[in-house]
Amino acid sequence: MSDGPDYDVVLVGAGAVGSLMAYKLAHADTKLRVLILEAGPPYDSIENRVDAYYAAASKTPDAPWPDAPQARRPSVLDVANKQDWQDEKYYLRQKGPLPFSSTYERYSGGTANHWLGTALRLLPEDFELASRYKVDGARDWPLKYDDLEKYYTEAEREIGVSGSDQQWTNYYGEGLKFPMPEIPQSYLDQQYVKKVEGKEINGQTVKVLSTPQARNSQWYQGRPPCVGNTSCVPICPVRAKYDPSHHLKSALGQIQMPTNSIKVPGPGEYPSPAPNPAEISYKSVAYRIDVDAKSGLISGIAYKTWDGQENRVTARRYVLCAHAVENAKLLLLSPWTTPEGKQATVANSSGQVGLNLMDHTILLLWGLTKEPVYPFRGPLSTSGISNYRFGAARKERAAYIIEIGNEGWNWPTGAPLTTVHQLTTTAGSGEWFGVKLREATHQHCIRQVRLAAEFESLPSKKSCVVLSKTDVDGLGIPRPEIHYELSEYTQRGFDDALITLQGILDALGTTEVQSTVDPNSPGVFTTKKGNTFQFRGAGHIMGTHRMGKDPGDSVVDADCRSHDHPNLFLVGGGSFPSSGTANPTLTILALALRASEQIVTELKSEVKP
Amino acid sequence: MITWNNIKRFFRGIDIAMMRSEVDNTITLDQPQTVWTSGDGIYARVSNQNPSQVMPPPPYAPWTPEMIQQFGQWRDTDTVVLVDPALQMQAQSFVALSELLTGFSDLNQDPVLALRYLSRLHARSDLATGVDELIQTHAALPREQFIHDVLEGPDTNPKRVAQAIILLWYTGAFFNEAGFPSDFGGAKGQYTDGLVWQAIEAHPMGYSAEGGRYWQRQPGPGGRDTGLGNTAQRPGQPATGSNELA
Repeated sequence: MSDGPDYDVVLVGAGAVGSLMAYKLAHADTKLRVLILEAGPPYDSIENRVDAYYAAASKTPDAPWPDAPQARRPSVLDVANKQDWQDEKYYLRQKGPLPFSSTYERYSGGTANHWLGTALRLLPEDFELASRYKVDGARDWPLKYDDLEKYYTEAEREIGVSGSDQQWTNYYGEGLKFPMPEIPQSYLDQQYVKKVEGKEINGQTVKVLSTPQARNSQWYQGRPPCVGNTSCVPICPVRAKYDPSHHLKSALGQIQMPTNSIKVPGPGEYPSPAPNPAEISYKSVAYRIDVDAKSGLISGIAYKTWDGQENRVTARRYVLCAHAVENAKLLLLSPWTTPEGKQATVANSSGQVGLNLMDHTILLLWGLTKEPVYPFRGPLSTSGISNYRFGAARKERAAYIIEIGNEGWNWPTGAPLTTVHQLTTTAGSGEWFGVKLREATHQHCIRQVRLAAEFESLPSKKSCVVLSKTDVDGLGIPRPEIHYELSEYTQRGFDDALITLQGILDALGTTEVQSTVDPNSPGVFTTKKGNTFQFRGAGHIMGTHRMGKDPGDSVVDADCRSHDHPNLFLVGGGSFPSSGTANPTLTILALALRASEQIVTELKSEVKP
Repeated sequence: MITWNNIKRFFRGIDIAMMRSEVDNTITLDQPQTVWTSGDGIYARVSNQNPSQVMPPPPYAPWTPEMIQQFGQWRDTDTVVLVDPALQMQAQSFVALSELLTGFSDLNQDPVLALRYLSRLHARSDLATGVDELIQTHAALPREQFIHDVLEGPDTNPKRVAQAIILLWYTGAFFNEAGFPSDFGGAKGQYTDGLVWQAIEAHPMGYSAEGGRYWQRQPGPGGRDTGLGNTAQRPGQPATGSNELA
């Protein structure tokens, strides 16, 4: 034993992927020694996080989650202002031309602490954008929908997805069975169903679909059903929304939620404590991956603890699951000489590491309905429109999914708090206070609606993560530098979606429809058609270590295994060769399950019990 | 004096919602009478040392000994003590002004909250003097004259102060120059106390006490299906003492 590696598997990052993979590895029928290196601290308590959200001046996705000099993370506020978004005070060094507007967390549980919970699969055609629609620059996946289907099903069961089998069978195929029935559509959604469904809008007969979501519609795995706190991003106070702590605690052999004697936990067994618990090292920031020159295998990972101490750990398999930006950063920090004698960085003989950074950029439109729709109630989103996600139109423009918001103008304007401010500071004599103000606030807010179109991106070497040559974090580790632009393909999607969203809001009976461009925002562009848009980030970071069949222009294979180093896996949104329009988490988890299975199979033959 | 105004803050939105909709729908933790009547049972649960018995259940933190002691003290009184009359007196003139400004007529029911707001206003150098002046002139002048001469008079400073008071009651926050909330009063602040949520027939984002799948229905009378829980009033319809302008 003393000559062998320290562990069988080392995972870098205790987010959605790291937690689920640790859980699977710790439950394998072979005893595996598993270590997770987590850059951030342990999850302290849900009360503290909820209180941090209540106290935060801006209720942004990062509001409840702590930042630290040793494990910094971006905030959406960093790119709010065109005067300073490229300033060195912000963790990501943004070089433009446009701001990369999505963020991530470096805290136990990772970015899936603040995810919305929307759990969509990619559509079968999303895996074949290049071959099916001949889109310039697009990439096919090295696997098909059918290859992932069973992992999608397993991922949905693991995290607990509520959805309508009947509505989604057309998209996903026969035999679909979500673990829980759908979350009820909001009263607001129902107005869309009544007034918009079946209408011909921009070439499509619109269908309003209940969204599959990792949010309990009933007790599941010891977690309660959703009670509609309307704060899914950034935090679910009842933990009806899945977050990675459930699998992490199980992987570590800790019981997350003991069965309370007054309530039967309900269907879906809670993840049991792992028979072979994994270990975790918090506040441990990986900064270099070492390669054995002779074998080409990864020989160790160096990390610093928050007090600056340097450590190194060895394993049979290494999994980087620190999300797309940090995975790329860590690889680029790790020098490697290829067998051909080329000076490169780890896993990067293709030169593709860090390139092809993608997001689902977002267009928001909002307005006031004639009849009240009573927003600010229920999960943030319970329905969407998928008509514009597929079909021959993708030859010309980016596909997009439409999300119906249940939170009024909160996203674009900060309503309802800012609505009161607006009304009290602008209303006329006798109107800006008292009962008149109260009534005006009521009348305005109960009619607020908001739609989001979320667009697919194309991979491009011009949108990328590189290492900053000038700036380091609190541990002296170089910070990520981001270059970002939007393809004309995506921009044409915006032009098309503007027509669609306006059509939908018209059909709903909406006045004062707007997509007002904030004059302070750096996230503004004008399309060839002459439309000027402000875009937002979806928080869907993809594409920095893409998968492919050809080691010459991709970083990992269909199992998320490095082409260059057979004992290295890069798992997460970074492995996506194209983005599709589905929120990526479910696909990320499906890839994690697939990689786990592969690793367990291999190690079974290597590890002696 | 321990009153309902102190006790009610021990129950988080999640406690109230989960209790009402998932555990025992006879226990409505936002109803003082129910909580007082069920006081022995609640005391037994919140003070229980057994993780499988204690409320709220893990992973939520148990009550602190001080909370348990205060709850016990409140439960042991002969009747339900809602409000401390001494605090009510202390907050009276500020509350009277606030009711005119906000359009809500029941602000005297929570002097603990009113005095927190007053203290936060006093801590602001740009508002402290103006707030006291506004309270005094409001108390001294007939209502119509106060509105005409002071709130909408030639000096714009009273209006600025009045707007800060309105925003504080509606949102729990002070706002910055750009029109965004800048200060909710820290970790034990008043975000969830904002009146705006009642005004719009909804609940504070991140704090829903109603339970159940309320959002599929249109909000109803008495705050039903707003997500707020039973204490909500019918928005837009102040119960008494309307401040409607002539």
